[in-house]
Amino acid sequence: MRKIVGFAKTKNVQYLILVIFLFLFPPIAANEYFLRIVVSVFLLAILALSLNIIYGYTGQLSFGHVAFYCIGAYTSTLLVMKLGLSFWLSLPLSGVMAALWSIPIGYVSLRFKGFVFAIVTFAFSEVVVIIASIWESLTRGDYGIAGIPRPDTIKIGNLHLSFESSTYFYLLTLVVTIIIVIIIKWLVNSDIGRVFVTIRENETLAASVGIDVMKYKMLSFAISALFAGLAGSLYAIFMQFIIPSSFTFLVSLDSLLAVILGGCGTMVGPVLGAILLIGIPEYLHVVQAYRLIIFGILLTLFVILMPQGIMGLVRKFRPSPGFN
Amino acid sequence: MEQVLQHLFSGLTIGFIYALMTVGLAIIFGVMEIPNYAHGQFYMVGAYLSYFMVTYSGLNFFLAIILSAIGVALLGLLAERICFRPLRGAPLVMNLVAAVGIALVLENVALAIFGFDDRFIRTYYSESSVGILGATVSMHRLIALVGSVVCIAGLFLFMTRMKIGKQMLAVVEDREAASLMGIRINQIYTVAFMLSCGLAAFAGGLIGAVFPISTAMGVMPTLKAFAVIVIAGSGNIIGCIYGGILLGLAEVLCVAYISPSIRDLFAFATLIVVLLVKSTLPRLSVEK
Repeated sequence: MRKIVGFAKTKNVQYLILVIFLFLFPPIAANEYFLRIVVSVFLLAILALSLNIIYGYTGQLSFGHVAFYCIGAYTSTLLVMKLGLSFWLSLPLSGVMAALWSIPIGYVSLRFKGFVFAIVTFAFSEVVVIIASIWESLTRGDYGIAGIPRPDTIKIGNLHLSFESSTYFYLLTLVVTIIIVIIIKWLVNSDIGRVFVTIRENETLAASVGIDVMKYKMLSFAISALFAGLAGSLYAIFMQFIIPSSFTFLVSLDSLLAVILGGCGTMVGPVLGAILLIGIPEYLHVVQAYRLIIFGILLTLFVILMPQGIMGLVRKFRPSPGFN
Repeated sequence: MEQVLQHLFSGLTIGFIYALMTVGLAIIFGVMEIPNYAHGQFYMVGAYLSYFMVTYSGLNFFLAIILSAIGVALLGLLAERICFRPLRGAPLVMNLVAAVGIALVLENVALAIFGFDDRFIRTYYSESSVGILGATVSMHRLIALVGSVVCIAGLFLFMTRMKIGKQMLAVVEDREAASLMGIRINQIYTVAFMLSCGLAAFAGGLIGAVFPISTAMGVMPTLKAFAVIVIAGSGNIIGCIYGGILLGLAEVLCVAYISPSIRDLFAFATLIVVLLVKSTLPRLSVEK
């Protein structure tokens, strides 16, 4: 018995239980509205996880993450609607497109540090969104693109997965989120991830031991853009309507808040942050008129009381084994 | 010719308002290293307060603007004491999150009171206009221009003539050295925050008579002000004033002669290009 309890306490098993629970979640919840909220939590979580690569691990504060979200959303939508591509092909392509665009953007903006980098990335994100709104022949500008079709049905033997209902949508975003979490987890534990952290901790030192700082910063920026592009593609197919005005600075700010609230440079942090950031205002629906006022007060209180984010607080009470 | 003058006048008006916004933000950023995202919300509150006083208690417009500036400065004092003082020495992003919290509170309180409808400050001279060198300028626009010019002139005097203003500039220059010289940093922080919020509210009141007032009016000017600060270089307060004026002029000329839809594109593309040129220039000179 003790063996079983001990086994259940190991981390991998805990994660497995969590994943199984998440897959069984839709029938338990069985509430369309609730599932849609959870899907938007996943979308914000992917965005925050991707921002965490460049900000949390590499230490470059980006205010312009929405640029890649927007590029991903438009790429995926235009590929499906103009070229008739399958969503399953356009989903990865939208990530690739965002990563490609991150090269020129990163090449210009990554030569700046700190707050200047933040403002330059913000400027780029505004430029991207404004281009989306004035290039009317391609993007229909401020009218937005409506009626984005649902993904094609997947047939595996007798199993038909159609994405008309929120349940399958939930499963789709869940699978993508888990894949992204696994990739990022692998990445940050690899040599590349260690280089990122070295750059965050001390750029001069990193350069002095022979790390090509600019190259790795751009790599980090590109990976982060790739996942943000995937999130954008999922967003477009989920909302079935995209318009430039929904890709404002507020989206960048939301993903940044999710990273900071959860604890930057951790795996669980951004996900927790996303849950809080969407969950608290939803929960406060009871006091509809004042919910954002209360949320603002909570946000301010939060940073004053927990400057390290939630994961910082967790670590305080449960130091990692390395320190014992 | 008249048309050019007309555009110049509107450009200068918006430019000086931007300058007021930017200089306030630059003071907080320079003195305290707080990226005060809520700056635009203080500007918005200033506009609503002036609107409220003019419309509901029939106060004189000028008196209303000055009172709202004082009111918002007190609000700023509260924000500094409650939120930013406990965060002293925390990383920049923590201050940013606190500022976002304040911005959310201010914006949604205003939304709860005034709703989504745009408001206009109306006075008995709202409809009148003045002819200057053949160009017609509406009375409110002229007041906004003159008011912001006078305010910036006053700020210049404050910074260069008054002891506390000089101390503030010294803190912007080098915080450590300033505190070693016996400048009371806490006092400077409080004054800087109140001054910055007061300036924002003053700008908001002036612009509230020219353009419609809405709860989201402050977001874009704040972000553009950040861009100007980055171009000028933080700590360069005079540069921020020039930058703000130039931005306003450039935007109005862009709307008039190129296309209204690329106004914001123009501002941010300029930021990127200027920074790029600025970052490559010294390298070129070294190579020579």
